Amino acid sequence: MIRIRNLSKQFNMKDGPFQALEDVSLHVEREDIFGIIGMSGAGKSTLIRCINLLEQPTYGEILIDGKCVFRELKPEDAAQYAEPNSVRLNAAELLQLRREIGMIFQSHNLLMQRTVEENIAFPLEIAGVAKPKIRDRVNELLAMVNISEKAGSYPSQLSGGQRQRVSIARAMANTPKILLCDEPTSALDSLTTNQILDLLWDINQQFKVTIVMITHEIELVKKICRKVAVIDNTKIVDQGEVGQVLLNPSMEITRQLLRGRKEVGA
Amino acid sequence: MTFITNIIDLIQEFQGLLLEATWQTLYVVFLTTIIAYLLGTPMGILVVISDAKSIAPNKILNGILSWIINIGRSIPFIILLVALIPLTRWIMGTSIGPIAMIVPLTIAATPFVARMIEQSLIEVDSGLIEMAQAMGATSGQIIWKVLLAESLPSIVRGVSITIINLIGYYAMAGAVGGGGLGDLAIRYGYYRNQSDVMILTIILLVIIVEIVQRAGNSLAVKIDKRNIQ
Repeated sequence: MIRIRNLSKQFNMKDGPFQALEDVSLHVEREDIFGIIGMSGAGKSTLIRCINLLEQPTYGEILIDGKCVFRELKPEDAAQYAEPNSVRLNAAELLQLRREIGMIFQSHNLLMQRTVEENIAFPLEIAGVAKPKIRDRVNELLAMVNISEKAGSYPSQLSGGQRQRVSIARAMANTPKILLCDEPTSALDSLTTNQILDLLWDINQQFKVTIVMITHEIELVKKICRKVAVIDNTKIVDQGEVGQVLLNPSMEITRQLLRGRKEVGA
Repeated sequence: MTFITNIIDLIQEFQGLLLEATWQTLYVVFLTTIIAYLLGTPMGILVVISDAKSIAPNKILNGILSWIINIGRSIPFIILLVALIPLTRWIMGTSIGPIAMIVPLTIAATPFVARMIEQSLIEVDSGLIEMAQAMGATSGQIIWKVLLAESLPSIVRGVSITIINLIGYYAMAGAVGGGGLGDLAIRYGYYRNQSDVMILTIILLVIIVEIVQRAGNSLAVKIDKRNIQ
């Protein structure tokens, strides 16, 4: 569903270039729940933002559902690929791609001046769906995340878990093929975290949506991911089935993540 | 009691002049506010979205707009008023009277409005813009449905500050025969040394400013859903 090859991202900062991702390759299968785990600053946030091109990678290739959405080859890699060496989506294709990829965020990013149902309607309005259709779809989504009784409330009236459920409903509004989750439970307590993970699991099962989730918490990966990639200091250092990667950790960073901390000087 | 009866006598004596001056102040400030928002809002939006970290980075446009806004804000209004007399005469056919004052007032208020809009829009959480981009929103949709919609309470507060500023500016226009309450205060209070008339205009100005301030604040609180329980 998502194939990333030799992806690099360099930011041009005031004090010179900053390497955020280096030669990252991974493959997320259709309907999978794929975890990307790493410490703060490892590059996982940049990586997930490359998938919907919120960040423009510097080099590499991204295929979504078989379609190339980004390609920029280093001269030395060009031989392994078919022509052309450079592929970009135009503005209309980029908007279309993003409408087919849902995204949820650690800080939920709900519009504070809109009610719950207006927030869920937002991506439908953006995509130009007709009003009566929006109403029906919003009601379905409210029921899906079990928050119908709060339809007319404002985000300031909701708990953290309720807000995240609204943001999941919003991300699913355009029935995306892919759902990107950027630390979706980091701001929540453990009980609420479990409820959100259960909801994501149900959505994956019921709607066959491919989920990519970044996190720094190993428990999340153990609970719902089938595959995992471990990212450390701009590179993917380990990936595979969750059981394989986490039960027999071959890499030091994976062992550190399992212990829940990064050793000083490691 | 003599003080109050004096005031009542004064109001009766100057009733016509006071009503006319108040009416001039209200319509000049009202018209100028509308024109200044029509011109200043797009400027404020453009300066925000053309910032390097925003949705339509454009260093040159951003630089030019910031420069215009700063220059416009740094010229004292009384000097601008005098300097613009030829332009005012060219546009309006006259440089005196309330309607003519709309020209210098608009030129002074537009950069001010642009800055107020800019301040309101940059308060919007960048996470919301990222969310809208991730949903596939166009720049126009982000401006309309995120930036403006989310900062509306702050924009409303800005409108009342702008109106209050314009009431002050227009009072200065009295010095060059611009009409309104400032004109009345200068003609009677300063040239004819009738300080009681001046005090009356001050009281009227304070009342108008207070009404605008309170109305703006309560409207802003009413439409703001961030603190709703």
